[in-house]
Amino acid sequence: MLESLAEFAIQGIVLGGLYALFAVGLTLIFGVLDVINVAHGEFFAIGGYLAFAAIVVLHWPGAAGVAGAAVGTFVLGLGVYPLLLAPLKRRLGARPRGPLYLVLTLGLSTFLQSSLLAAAGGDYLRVPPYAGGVLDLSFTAVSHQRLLVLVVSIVLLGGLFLFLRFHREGLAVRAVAQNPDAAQAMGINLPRVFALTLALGVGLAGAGGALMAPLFNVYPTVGFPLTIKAFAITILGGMGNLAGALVASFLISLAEAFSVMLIPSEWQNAIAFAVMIVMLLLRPSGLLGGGGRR
Amino acid sequence: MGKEVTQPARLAVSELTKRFGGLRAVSGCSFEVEAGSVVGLIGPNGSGKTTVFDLITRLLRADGGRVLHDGERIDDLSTHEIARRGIGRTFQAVRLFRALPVRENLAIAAMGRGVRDWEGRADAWLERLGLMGLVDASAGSLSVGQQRLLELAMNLVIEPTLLLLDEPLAGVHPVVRRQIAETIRELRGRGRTFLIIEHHMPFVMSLCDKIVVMDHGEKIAEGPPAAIRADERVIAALLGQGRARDDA
Amino acid sequence: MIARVRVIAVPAALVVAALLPALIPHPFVLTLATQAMVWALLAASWDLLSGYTGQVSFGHAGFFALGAYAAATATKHADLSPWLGLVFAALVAALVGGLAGFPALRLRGHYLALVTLGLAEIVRLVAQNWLELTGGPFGIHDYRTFPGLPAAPLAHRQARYVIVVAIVAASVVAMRALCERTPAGKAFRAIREDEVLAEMLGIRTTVYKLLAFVVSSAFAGLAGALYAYDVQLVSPSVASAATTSFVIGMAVFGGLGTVWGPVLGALLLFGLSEGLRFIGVVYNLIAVGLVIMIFVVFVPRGLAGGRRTA
Repeated sequence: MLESLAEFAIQGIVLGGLYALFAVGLTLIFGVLDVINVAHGEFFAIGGYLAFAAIVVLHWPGAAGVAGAAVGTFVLGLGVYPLLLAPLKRRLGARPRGPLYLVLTLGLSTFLQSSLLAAAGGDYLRVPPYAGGVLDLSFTAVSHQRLLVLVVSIVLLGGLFLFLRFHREGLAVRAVAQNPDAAQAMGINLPRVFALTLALGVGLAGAGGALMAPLFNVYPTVGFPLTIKAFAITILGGMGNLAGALVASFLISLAEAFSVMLIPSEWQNAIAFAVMIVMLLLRPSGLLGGGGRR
Repeated sequence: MGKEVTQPARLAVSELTKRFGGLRAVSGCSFEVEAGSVVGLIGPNGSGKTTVFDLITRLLRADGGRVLHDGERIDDLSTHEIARRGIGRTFQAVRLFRALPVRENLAIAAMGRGVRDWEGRADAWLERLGLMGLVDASAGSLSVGQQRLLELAMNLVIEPTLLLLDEPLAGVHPVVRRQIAETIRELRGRGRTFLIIEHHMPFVMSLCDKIVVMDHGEKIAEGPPAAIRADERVIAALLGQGRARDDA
Repeated sequence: MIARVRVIAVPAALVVAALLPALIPHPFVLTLATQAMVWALLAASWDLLSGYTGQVSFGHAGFFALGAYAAATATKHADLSPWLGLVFAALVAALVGGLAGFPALRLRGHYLALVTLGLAEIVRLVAQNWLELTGGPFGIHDYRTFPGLPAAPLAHRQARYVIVVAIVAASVVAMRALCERTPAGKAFRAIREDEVLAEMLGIRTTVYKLLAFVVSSAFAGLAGALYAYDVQLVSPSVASAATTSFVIGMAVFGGLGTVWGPVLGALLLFGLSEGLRFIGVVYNLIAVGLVIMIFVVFVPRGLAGGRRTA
């Protein structure tokens, strides 16, 4: 019993690393741009496809493939703000942002998902593990691949937090999240920060997609369930609250991992949605309170 | 109250209190607005005037105190119920259904209060306020002054018992200012009651029967314009605006 | 100009639609036309809630699926007449829509979209996993369609098409009337434009929002039931986010906040999408995505060119 508990805990923690990578990026984008990126999961999928292209087709080493995929999605992400969000913003002018941005990113999601399907087909593409072997913990075993996902997630998230804390551009991002008007008055180039933040957020998702490729396989809709789960996580953690998203990622992943003891595994995916709806009814500002900036 | 002969005040606010976190936005504020009078609510920025409006209209929930309208408590009603009692309100930053035509803005205002046969009255006001030619224009396309007039007209078609005006002159051309002042004066003549937040002192002094002064969430003075003009605390508070907290 | 197009185009489109079985007596064309009508109803129902009232739902696939499953299971397992099945489906969807509307009374914008998306996903999971009732991943089939239709295949298709057109047209007219000719319609628009102001003017925003939810989900459920009786197969994929995306695409394409715009958008986008299937199955959704992005950003009023946008 204890052993299976520990096993579930480890599974949950590894999954939590992935959720965090994904949800922190989504939360960062929301906190700075006030836009929920419905297409976030598609960038996860793109990361997976880029990793497949680099590693399986071009025979790059695993590390280079993952890095390439992250950079590739980052570069793609750079285009999203200037090409899509900025024109809508210009059109709406001073009017409230409203949910049109959601509709817009939903369109992007559909477009990217079906473009991937058109370009690569619907087959599950297999990517070989980046790290072979397992870590034997006597009561259970964890594949090195899973550990790798966890470690890289932690490193990337740590890097993000350091960037936001100390780097000049990171400070600009935080300033905009606090108060865009004041930040602009201080000479911060808003469009640049918006574009950069969006690219960073989806870049993290792309890195996640590349990392998970050997475990999940790669197919066009691989990211979409994650998007919905990440919505639940951001709501649990408080919209726009990065630390909250981090904590909530692990809460949800652990709840899912332990849930198999109580409910059939096919219902596992419903947990996140149930949590989301309950949270919205009881405590819309998130677990850590305060929540977003408005 | 018992069987007093005197009419209860149209609006009576007593011991109204509202805290935001640690900050006391409104603190033990009491005053009355007699039926058929125009009362000015003045004070430095951040002194809690708009918060008082929000508490009366229940956009915010008070932490303490009572609000009575014609002697009946309204602080436990919801915003739309308060509106249906004939209490109208305008906003510091004009609020309109910007994408909808002027005519429809008026129609919604009448519908919300359950008023029928409003068209004739609306036409009269539109004519009077110079908006008649704009009935089909979208509200957002009007000038700031016209928007203020439309906001006022939306509250007039329902023949309100009490009107709360939040800085009706802000950003408005002097011609329109005069128009607004005349309208208020005329309506008072017809027994309407007003509570007005305004920074434009000549307007306040010439129009109001009584002035209530707030500072740091508290009422610091109340009285007829002449007395308020001479009150040292008021002068200090209003002149001290520069050092006052600008958090509202 | 636009108004004149509207006056001429809408009745013309209706007449052509009504005459279609006589003009093109072809089973395949009729099948597509029937489905297009079902989509039109779903898009119009979405528009009532999201375009008119401004409460953006990402969960209409869920209400649609609820209606489809309610109709199919009631007819299959309880032998409910399909006519009553339509009513039953609308009621089930309205009930769930009303329940989903409760959080909406307190939530705005982003949150509501997320809740409804989660709701649709839960519907999909239930459909997939409740094998006894829903048939699981393979879906539910082998149930009756409308009784008393001609037996000959072509005449049967024609009759089914006429039934669907009649119900869809009546529903769209009813929704349009609700939005344009009643105080509720005014309240819907007021809520969309400024909820606080609406409340300040005496409008019971919570009641009207709930009403919009119930009516919208009821018609979405009705559309689902029509789909179920027409296609004779309901599988969990109808509850997928792609369905919602398709519907929103249609509404944006046609013009938000007009009810009839989304109907037009649905007919055109469905036609486009089916046409694209001849090139390759995947291209239709690429087109949907492109339409959403281009129209939201550059043609906010959609084809209907209505003055009002969400």
